[in-house]
Amino acid sequence: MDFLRQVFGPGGFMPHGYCYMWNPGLVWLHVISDSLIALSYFTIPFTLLWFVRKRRELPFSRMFVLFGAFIVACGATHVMEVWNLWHAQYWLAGGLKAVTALASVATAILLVRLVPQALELPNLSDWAQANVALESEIHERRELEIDLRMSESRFREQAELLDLTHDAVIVRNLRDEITYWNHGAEELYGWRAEEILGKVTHELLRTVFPEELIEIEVETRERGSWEGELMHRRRDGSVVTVSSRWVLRRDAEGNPNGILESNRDISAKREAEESRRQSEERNHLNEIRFRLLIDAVKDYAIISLDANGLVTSWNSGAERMKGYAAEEMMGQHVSRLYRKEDIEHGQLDNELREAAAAGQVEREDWRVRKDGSQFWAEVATSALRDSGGELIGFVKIDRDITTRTAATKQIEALNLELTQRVDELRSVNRELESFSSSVSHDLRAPLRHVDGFARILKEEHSAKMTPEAIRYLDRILTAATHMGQLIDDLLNLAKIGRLELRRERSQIAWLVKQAIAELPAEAKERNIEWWVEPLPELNCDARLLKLIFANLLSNAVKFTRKQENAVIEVGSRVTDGQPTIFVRDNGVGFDMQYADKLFGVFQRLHRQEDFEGTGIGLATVQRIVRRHGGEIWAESKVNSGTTFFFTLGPRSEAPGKERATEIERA
Amino acid sequence: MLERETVEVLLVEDNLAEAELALHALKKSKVANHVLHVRDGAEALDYLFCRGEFSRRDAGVRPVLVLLDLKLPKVDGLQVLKQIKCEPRTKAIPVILLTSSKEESDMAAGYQLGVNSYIQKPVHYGEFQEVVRQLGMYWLLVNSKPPAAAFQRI
Repeated sequence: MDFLRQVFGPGGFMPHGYCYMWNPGLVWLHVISDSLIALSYFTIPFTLLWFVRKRRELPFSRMFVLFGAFIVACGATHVMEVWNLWHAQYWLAGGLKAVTALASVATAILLVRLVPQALELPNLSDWAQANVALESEIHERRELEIDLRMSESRFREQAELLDLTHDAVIVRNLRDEITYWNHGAEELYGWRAEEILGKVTHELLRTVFPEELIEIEVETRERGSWEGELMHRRRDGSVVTVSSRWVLRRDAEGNPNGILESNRDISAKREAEESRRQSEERNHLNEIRFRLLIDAVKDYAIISLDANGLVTSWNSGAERMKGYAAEEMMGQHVSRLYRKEDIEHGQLDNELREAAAAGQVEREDWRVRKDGSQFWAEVATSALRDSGGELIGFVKIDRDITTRTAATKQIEALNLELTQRVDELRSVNRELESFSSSVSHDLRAPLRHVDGFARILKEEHSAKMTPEAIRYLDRILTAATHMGQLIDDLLNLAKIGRLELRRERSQIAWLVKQAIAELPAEAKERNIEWWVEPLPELNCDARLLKLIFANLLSNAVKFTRKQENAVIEVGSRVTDGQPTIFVRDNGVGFDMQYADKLFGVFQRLHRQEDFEGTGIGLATVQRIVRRHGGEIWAESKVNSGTTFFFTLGPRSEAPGKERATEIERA
Repeated sequence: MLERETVEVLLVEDNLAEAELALHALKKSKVANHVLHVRDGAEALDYLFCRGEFSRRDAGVRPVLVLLDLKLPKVDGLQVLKQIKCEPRTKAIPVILLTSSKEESDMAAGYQLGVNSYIQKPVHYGEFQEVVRQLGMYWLLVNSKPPAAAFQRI
């Protein structure tokens, strides 16, 4: 308390006015000056405080606080000066000065430290400059904004325009991501823009490039654009061929920032081109084929003419026939192939006129070769007209028929010769007939005489003859009989060869029955068992078939003569679709090793004294079978009988033992 | 020659052996006593038409039967047949072709020319004898001979 009293009390000092001896002027000078200073000092910190509060971003705020405190302190010291003029509180004044000193020192120190920083702060001219720059920037920005708006609207306009085109327009960035996709692209590929923006173009469309993508990209970068054909896959999977144009996009600095791609669907065009190409190729091939064909034709001269008769094509046949090479004749008038006199008579003009009128004319005519020689030709001339019916030329096909005429003559000669041959054959046949006739007459006559006189001798004069003479007479009679048989059989055989085959449906069973009935008396006298199976109806010459059975059955009768229980069997089987007739006996049979001699003329397998015969019967049978187109074969075993098989048509296999036994077993 | 005699059978046969056998058979058959044998076709025609060596014979005498062979010298059997059958004076005379030919063509030609019978001579003489006997019996005894009017021109 004492301390406080001491500080705030007068402490026994005199007020400061005493120092001025209360000179009023001096006192008031101090009072007013100090008051003014203090007042000013007090206003500064408040102003600063207001400023600082207003400009919060202001740097050095601590500096402002310290400076404010220092000013307030300074102001307080000046108030104290006024106070102490009348009050002598010098301790308080000292204390105030100490506080002010502290604030001053601190502020000074801080200020010193702040100077380098403060120096960095722009000065006013800098600010002015910055302001100008700022203003111009603001201006630029405004303009830019306007530009941007304009360009935006332009862009919208462009986008709308791009939507108008049917082409697919795609904008992609450098990573090939789609940034724009117009209506045309939506239409062409099937994706809507919002579905695929940001997708990688080539992956989406599975692009097939005509060359390496990298090469295309290099070209686009170097030249700024690329054009070519691409193949893309649509959303529905179908493939579309497009004519593609790429343009490199650059930013304001000229750096590439994307590619604008415009694609036009040319599939239809390509297909049309392809089909046109194919059809052209076909036409070309056809033409080549046609030319080859025309050229391959060697025997015909095939020439085409224009409407004026000038040669426009000349094939190798023409070269060959006429002697002119194609190069010689192209563009030449066709009249040089005609005889002068024919041209004078208007033959060519007539020919072409008639062809033009009737479409085609055919005639035979003289033609002239390059060497001047002439030949007789068969000529066909056709008019060629275009689709409008306008005559555009002629096609002439000539054929050299000199040789054909010669051939015709040759054929005629051959025909004549043939006719002569036929006549000769006829006369030979007549001769043969008269030969047969003379054989039957002239050979038989002496035989009859031998037989007749021998018989007269035997019947009317045997009383005067020895038994030996009579025996010789018998020999003569037997020989004569045999020879008569031989002649008859031979004539029969010859007759079968000449006979015309008269096929008709014939009941084989009936023929067999007739043949049996007409067998020699021996057949009826002996005890023979006949087994005749049902037999088919066959298409054959019944007279000859009956002859077959007559021969085979009389053979069977003959060769079973020594058999007590003779059995003769007739039957049929169908083998290989062919009816096979067989005649079987249980007679003496024969050794199969001589089977090949069976059907030979005069071939006999038995001695005459055992079994009489001429050796012509089976030859006759074989001839009849063969004339029917059939086959005959036999199967036999000594003392076990014989089976003859025959067909009236060809069998698929050659006759063999197996077949025969097979039939026998069946 | 027998031109004045009755001729029952005219045998036209060039071959003597053949003729002898035929005559023997005719004789044995006892149907014909008067047989005239001529050796070829020309002689047969001469006799029938009273020509040549037969020009003085009685034209009223005609054979009852002609036995004609086919193969004959000079004029063959079919020619003879043709002339006989073409001539009204001889047309009615029965002609038998007695031949060893079995040829169909001969037979057909014979019948076409109007032969009355065609007989193939059997090889065996016994059979031949029988055939001759039968034909003699038939033509000379059974068959009524053509009347004189049959030989006149119509």
